[in-house]
Amino acid sequence: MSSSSDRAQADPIVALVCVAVLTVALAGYAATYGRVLPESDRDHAGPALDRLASALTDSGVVHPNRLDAVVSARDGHVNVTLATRNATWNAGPTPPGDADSANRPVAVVRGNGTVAFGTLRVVVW
Amino acid sequence: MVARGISTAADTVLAVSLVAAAATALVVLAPVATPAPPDAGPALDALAVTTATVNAAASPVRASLATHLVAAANLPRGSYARAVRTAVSARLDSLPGRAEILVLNDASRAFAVGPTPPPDADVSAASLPVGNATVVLRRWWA
Repeated sequence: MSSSSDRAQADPIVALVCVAVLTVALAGYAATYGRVLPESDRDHAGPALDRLASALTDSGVVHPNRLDAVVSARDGHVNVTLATRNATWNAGPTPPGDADSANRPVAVVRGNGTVAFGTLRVVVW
Repeated sequence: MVARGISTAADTVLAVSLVAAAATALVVLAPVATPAPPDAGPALDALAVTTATVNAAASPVRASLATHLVAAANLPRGSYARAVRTAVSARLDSLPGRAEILVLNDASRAFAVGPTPPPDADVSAASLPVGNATVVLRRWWA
């Protein structure tokens, strides 16, 4: 039976350097992984856009006069903008700069019976 | 102790080499993310019911763009068709990416507005029957 002094041991400095090098290598791999593979961040704005567009739409056209009621009835922070070439409607508090957003083309009914081509944009945070 | 220290360093070099190889494989083999083309469905739904007043031969006509498109497909070279093309182009230009509207009569291409998508483009399409014709919207990223 050998004593503990006979056991082979790595130089502590060498071992520490090796651990540090391995740590850096693994951190580099993790950084590469995060950069190369697609992000799996959750999409908050897309589902919110679907729900809000459905609530604002009747017979295939969006009614701007429903905007305030629909936005105020919704829990959470949301800002909705409805824009056509000649008019813009907005409801909700000012969003922060890093908020999720989504938009889609919509048909907007006007008071004079015409239907304008516009965009519904939803910002969620 | 010296021999064991060299062995530890050699093991570390081997481990780091494997990590580097894995990172290289990740970069080389990972699929390049290509964005899906913009959805044509909501855009066609909105375009179809949008109303516009277009100058016809006799008088201005107010109708939905879908109705204008199908009517223009019957006389694609007249002034009315040119006015319809202008009205539709203005809406298509406001969409992100590129878009083309086709009106098909009896499965033949009767009327088109906008550029034709390149053969290698990833295209989304939606169609809407209007009378005996079909209005098709194609969208893609430029």
